[in-house]
Amino acid sequence: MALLSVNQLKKSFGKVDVLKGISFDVEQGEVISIIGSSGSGKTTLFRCLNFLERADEGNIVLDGKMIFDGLSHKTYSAKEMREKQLNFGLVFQNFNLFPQYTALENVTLAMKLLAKDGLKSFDGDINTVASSYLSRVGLGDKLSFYPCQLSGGQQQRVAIARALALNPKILFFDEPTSALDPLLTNEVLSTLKSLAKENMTMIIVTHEMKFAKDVSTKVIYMDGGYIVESGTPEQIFENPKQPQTRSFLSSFIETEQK
Amino acid sequence: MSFNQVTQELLKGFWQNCQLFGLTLLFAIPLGFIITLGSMSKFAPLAFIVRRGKADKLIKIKYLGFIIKHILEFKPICFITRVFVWIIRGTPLLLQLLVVFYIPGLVFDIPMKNRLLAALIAFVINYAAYFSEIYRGGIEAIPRGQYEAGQVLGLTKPQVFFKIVLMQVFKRIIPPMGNEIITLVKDTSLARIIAVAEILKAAERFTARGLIWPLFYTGAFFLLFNGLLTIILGWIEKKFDYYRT
Repeated sequence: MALLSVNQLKKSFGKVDVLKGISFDVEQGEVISIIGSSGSGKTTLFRCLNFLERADEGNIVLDGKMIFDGLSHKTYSAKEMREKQLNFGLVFQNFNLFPQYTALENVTLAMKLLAKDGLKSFDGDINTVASSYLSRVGLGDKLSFYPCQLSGGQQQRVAIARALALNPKILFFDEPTSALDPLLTNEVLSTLKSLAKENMTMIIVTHEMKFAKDVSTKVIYMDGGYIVESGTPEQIFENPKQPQTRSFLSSFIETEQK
Repeated sequence: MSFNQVTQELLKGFWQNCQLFGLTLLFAIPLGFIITLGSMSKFAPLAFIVRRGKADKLIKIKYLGFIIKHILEFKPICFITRVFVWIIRGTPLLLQLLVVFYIPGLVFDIPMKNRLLAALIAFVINYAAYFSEIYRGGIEAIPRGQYEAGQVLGLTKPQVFFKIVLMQVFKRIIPPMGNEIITLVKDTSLARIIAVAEILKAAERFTARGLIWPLFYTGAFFLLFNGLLTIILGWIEKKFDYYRT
């Protein structure tokens, strides 16, 4: 059984249909790359999956449990919402670190509050656990630095550690390197690669085609609110079946050659 | 009249200014926050009809639907608060002082006996309205991403506000609050209009006796006080320099 199963998810803003029925499955340990041009609905999909937007139709099943059902108008208690939320972690394009806290505090803030509210428990001292996560992303020596003292790549890695520390079942990355220059991009991508090696289940919206090809187990191409094509990286990048996929990928190759 | 005697008299007056200043801040800072809550209130009692989908047809009526939608989304608390802020910011503080002092006696037959209290009420209401707009600006300037980052980390709305947003709002509002606070120091002398024995009133008593320089001398008191305030505000601003929003 799939870890996550998304079925016919639809979302519109006013008269604009952004998601027109998205379905896909995610297995434990998979790394899925979602590619597609801007406006294809990738970010909206992420926001719906992470409860930042409410989808209009469809459902989301995690571990056999329905965590979202477009048909039901049942209201959940704050605690239930938080528990659902904590199944997933989300890393944003522009990091969204908390500027008034150090790297370590950025990671421990939620850990401490969740431990206090009985929603999560951690093995050992929270500060120690948090610093081990920061070491894991290569920032063991930057614990007491404030976000404004860190480079973009370092900030994004703090954000990754912050999400990892809550032990999510699936980690979502929304264009994690779009705000970074090529050098810093590599820094973040290698962090993602090492997470993939550790069997972390990840879904990544990305424009880094080489990365998508090298790291993912499955690639999804989205356009106009639909999943146009999905398959293994070899299928999508070397033998795309749909003309839209082909033209999208060829435009990418052209820009990369320029 | 010796310089020392004048200084002593003026200091007595200035003490009234200081009292007004301190008490106004003490009450207006929290009251401003309550007004902010009102002006940001999303409470719309009619909107539940829309949410249940019953008004969907009404909203789709041509031309009229637009007006119906606005009526259904009407937010009474927000509206009342903003009208209140508009009135307070749209009329002279001098006039407000007169209203607070005279209206209770004229309309309700309970004359204001304590002039300082009347001045204090007018100042608190006036400054709370200004402060509330500064707070609102500060809160609305915090990027949505900060709230969303808190939400995906499983924090509750109050936790997001108090642990993440509030400190950032605080840093943002220090400079505009500093401006208002310094203006308040000088505005306290407006209380003279309802005969509060503040420093300018004290100086005018000398003028009546043909001594003009004490009137100009009062400026030194304000300058000294505001100089001190500027240093304190600068120090607070520096305290928050360790991070950038």
